[in-house]
Amino acid sequence: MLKQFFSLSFKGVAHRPMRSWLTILGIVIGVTFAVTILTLSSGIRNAVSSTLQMFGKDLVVVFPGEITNPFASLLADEKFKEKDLMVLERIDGVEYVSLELQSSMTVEYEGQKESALIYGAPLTPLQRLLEETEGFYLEEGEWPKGDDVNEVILGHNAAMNLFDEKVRIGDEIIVKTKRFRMVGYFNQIGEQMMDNVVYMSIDNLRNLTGEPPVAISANVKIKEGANIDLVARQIDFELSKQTVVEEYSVLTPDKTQKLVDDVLEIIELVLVVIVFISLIVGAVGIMNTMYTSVLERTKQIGIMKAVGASNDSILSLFLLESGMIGLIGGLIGVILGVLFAFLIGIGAEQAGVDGLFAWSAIEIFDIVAVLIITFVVGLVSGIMPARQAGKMEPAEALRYE
Amino acid sequence: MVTKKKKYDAVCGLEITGCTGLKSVNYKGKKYDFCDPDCYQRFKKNPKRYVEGKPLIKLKNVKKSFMLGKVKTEVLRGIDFNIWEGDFVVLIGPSGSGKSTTLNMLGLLDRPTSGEIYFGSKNVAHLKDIERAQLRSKTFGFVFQQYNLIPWLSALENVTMPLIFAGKEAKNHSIQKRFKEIGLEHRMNHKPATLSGGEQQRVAMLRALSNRPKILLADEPTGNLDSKTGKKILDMLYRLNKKEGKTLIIVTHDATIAKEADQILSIQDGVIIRDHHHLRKKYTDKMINHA
Repeated sequence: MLKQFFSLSFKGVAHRPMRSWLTILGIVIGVTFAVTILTLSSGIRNAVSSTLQMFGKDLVVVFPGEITNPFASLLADEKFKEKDLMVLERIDGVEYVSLELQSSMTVEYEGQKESALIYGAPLTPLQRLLEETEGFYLEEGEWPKGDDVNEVILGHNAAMNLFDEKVRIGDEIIVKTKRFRMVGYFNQIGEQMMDNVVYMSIDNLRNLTGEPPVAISANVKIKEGANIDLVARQIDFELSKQTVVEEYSVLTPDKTQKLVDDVLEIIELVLVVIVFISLIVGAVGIMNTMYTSVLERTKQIGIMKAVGASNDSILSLFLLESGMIGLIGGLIGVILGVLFAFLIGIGAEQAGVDGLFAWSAIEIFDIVAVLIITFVVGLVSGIMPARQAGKMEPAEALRYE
Repeated sequence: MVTKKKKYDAVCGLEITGCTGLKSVNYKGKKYDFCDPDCYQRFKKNPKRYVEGKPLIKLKNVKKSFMLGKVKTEVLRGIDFNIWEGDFVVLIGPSGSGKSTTLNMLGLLDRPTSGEIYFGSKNVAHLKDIERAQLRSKTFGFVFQQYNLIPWLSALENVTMPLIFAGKEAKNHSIQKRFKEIGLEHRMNHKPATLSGGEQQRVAMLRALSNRPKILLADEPTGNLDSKTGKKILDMLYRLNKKEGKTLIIVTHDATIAKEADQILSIQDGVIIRDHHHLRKKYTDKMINHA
């Protein structure tokens, strides 16, 4: 019985293929968007979390500027004095402090000039930081012999892809104006900010930039078992004594996670609103189509009533029809959404961001929920037109031409 | 002011109050009055049917008006008649006389503005929509001039549709057999647009019979067909009336149809101007000329 009703409704949808498809498209767009985001959101979260984990759970980062905008520090002119940061090493619970300085400069190799990010840090803590907490190791070569030696290490991509030719160990590169020997390169980390970088001692970088002993930020490694929050408060206290950088942030892993979560939540909220709006637009489309359908099929409604259809039968037929439009839109949207997420995942992987898309991120429950929602959106949009159809007086409907 | 209770005759349901040429028949010790000679004749021939039976359908002072823009148009201005089970009834009259509206009233496709429509002993004029739909589904089969098949369904699906609405299981086997009987077995899965007018009307007939209705209502069933095809359709209808005892009510202009009828209701300007029974040829001719 229900099957036969479905069949009747389906034929109603199929009767006007072009219009039905256009209406379905309205839903498809919204759902595709929603499913893409749904599928990628856990991937994005995971990617961000794993990046954070690379910084290490026992690492506190100190940088100028407000905590809400860690990237502003890269643009800020304010820099800490080296000695103001090095006092942090005296805090109980701090294992070591790795200062860092960054600058974008031209790098020349075999006559080819490219722009690259130069990362300067005291080499000993840098080596510990990179190798112990961030998963770096030298794929080939060795660390520079000292902070005052003109030697550099390249990130994996900087060595392999920055220039047309792969940079060979022992070759000379020119950074800004000085010659350096490339003595080694790292494994691939999967982060552009780390793989595309030229690493050198902070002294060498300061020589290039002509800066006094300053640092833009510091990675403070916390001793195992120490209370990170407590240490962070002490760091804060120590920094409050210096006067060079008035506004600075002390970022603990928990704070970072929270910060990222907040940003992701806002992004997700905005996206949910967009999805919601696009579903409403789709629903209005369905309603419009159903009204047109009812008008166009007035005579057939009269015929159906003449052969015994009740108001409820007609109502059900049109509701099923609009529900079906919603459901088909939902199904196609789900398929396209997963497909887009998959493609974005591939694209991201090529850009160096792994694990954005995962089949495991697709929850059957979510998919079923999306399909139910689209079916219900279809149903709800069909209610008014279907009621209008159901209430028609058969004789009046039959007269309609 | 004292109003006398109106009286109606026992066959046609016509008002006899104040009739001048009243004719009476005594049957089993009771007196039956008639004003209309045809109704009188009909009673005389078979009084038992009319005394012991009840009319299948009875219309009493049925009025219907429409609003055309702001103008109120009265289409039916007080219609009375009886239809007896198994009869072949023809509604005849000029265009716009109200005969199709009357048929719609009979088939519960429309509601009267006032008046009563009895189906058996039940007044169905103001039933709820759902009860009307159930009654239509169980009792009436409709055949239209324009065939009115659903264009996006196949012939077979058109025929099974009433069963779906009646909540019955469609048995393809028996439906197939019926298609075979009307010689359209090979066209069963075709869409109406690919069928000829005659074929469409035969499919429409099958559809009308899907739920085995007691009453067949046909609005100009041959109006769009050539005479040969029209005759085939009529033969089918007659057979259903004579052999299967289905009450057949046809709205038509066609003289040949009227000649076969048990009862002719002649409508003009929204009133029944004559209610003829036991028709003979001369009556029919007169009637048709009149119409």
